[in-house]
Amino acid sequence: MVKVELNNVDVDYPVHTRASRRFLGKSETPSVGGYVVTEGQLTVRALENISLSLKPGDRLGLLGRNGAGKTTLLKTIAGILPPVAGTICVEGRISPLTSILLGLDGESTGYENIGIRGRLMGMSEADIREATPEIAEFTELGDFLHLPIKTYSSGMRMRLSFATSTAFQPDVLLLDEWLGTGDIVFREKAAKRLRKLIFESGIFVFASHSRDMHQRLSNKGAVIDKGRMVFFGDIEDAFRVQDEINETDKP
Amino acid sequence: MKGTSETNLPQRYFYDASRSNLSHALKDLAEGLGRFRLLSGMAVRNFRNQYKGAILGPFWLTITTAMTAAGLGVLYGQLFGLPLSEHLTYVTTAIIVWTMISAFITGGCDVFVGNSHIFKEFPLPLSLFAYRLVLSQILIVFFRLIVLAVLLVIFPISFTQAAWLALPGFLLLLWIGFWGALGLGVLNARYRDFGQLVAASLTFIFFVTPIFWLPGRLGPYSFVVDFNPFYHMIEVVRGPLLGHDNITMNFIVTGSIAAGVPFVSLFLFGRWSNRLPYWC
Repeated sequence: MVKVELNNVDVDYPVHTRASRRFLGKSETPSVGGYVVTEGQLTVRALENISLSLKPGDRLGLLGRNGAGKTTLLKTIAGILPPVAGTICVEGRISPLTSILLGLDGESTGYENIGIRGRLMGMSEADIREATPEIAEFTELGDFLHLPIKTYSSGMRMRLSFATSTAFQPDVLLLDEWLGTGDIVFREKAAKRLRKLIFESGIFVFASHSRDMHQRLSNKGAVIDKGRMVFFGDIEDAFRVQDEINETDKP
Repeated sequence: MKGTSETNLPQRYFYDASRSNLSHALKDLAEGLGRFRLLSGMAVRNFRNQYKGAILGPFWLTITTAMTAAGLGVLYGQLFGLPLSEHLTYVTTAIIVWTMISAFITGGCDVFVGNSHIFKEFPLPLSLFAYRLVLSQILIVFFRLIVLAVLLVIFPISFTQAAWLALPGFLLLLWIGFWGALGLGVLNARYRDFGQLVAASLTFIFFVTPIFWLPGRLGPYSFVVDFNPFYHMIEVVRGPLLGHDNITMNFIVTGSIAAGVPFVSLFLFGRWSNRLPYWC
């Protein structure tokens, strides 16, 4: 069964470059970012003691200020960042819809890039073959798909990467901010496609600063503040908790 | 839209930070190989794009090799008073093998640092980049071997049965290259001085290894080259091909390296592969 489970997860970013410790810890702790640990190896504690259990049907919205750890949490769930403490267990196929332009090759044609991106996402050759006509149609790029994508405008490139990245249904979908792409006509079409992908995935985790988006897509909410999960529950309650934190943070 | 049926993706991700990273690293090595279509595509595109717009394309590799080998072969053949027909082949073979070894060393140092923009954004087995390096080197060596092939047509030599041993010799080098890259990649990710040190050493190694000179020229000191592992690694290909004596020793040394390097690299990668996204 599809699930996402994190137990007491800590994520540290070590600072190996020569940062001057002299200046650290002198001023008041900022309300953005994680905690800076100056004892021993200089590190930024990006996530601390995160426990989380998601079951099918959960669509979790991550709330928090800049540097609170939303993206780090997404990358931790995705398996990109192994934590220094705790356990992670994800059952089901994960697909992070972050950096959807990654892997595209300017010298290759649109059609070739559908395969390139599909393979990066772990699709089999049969999957890619089967999905290609539908992707091609969705992009509306027609003959351009036979040309190297370096001839594309950035909007056309986005169409291609968006259509390909959203063509395969994952069990666990991770999204870092809404993917707004293309012109008005395409934007609407893309939104519909992305919503379908989200609502057909087992578990959805979504980092965004847009409450409007959270209200439409998330049914649960987690508030992350300086790497700690201070609230987990109903999305509307999460908004309230976040408001309270922001109120106390005000100078 | 395609369902979740048959894919190459693992259906499960489990990570326990309190347990040793080794099993995680071993799984990474298996999964990396499982993504062969992805990594071969990356290798081929990378290779192709490097020569885009050049009319001669990858044949520039052939030309570069030919020029270096001709220069060194003719010059040192004269200096040492050796027949051109023999010395050219001798130098060319070594140049081809040495450029591959040195490319494995520099590419190995860069295997994680140079690809971090990919694996820090998308979950991929990290070993994939080491496999890709091996494939790239195979592609490159093919174009370099053309020089040797042409040379053997101009100055034919009579191959012995032992010449076939050059093939396993070459495979041994690829094996060492893969594991070496994995280990060097981890070291250089943590301490970038490592890549600098290695780059600085390569020219030195090139001159002290019998690539364009004969070990016999050292007279009573010719035993010194036996302590140079790069000499043995070159000889496992050049020795059998050109019918040198005593290739047993070369194969024993290179074989030992091939047996030992995986342990060292497995230790490094097994212990610290989970830190690579943070170090790069």
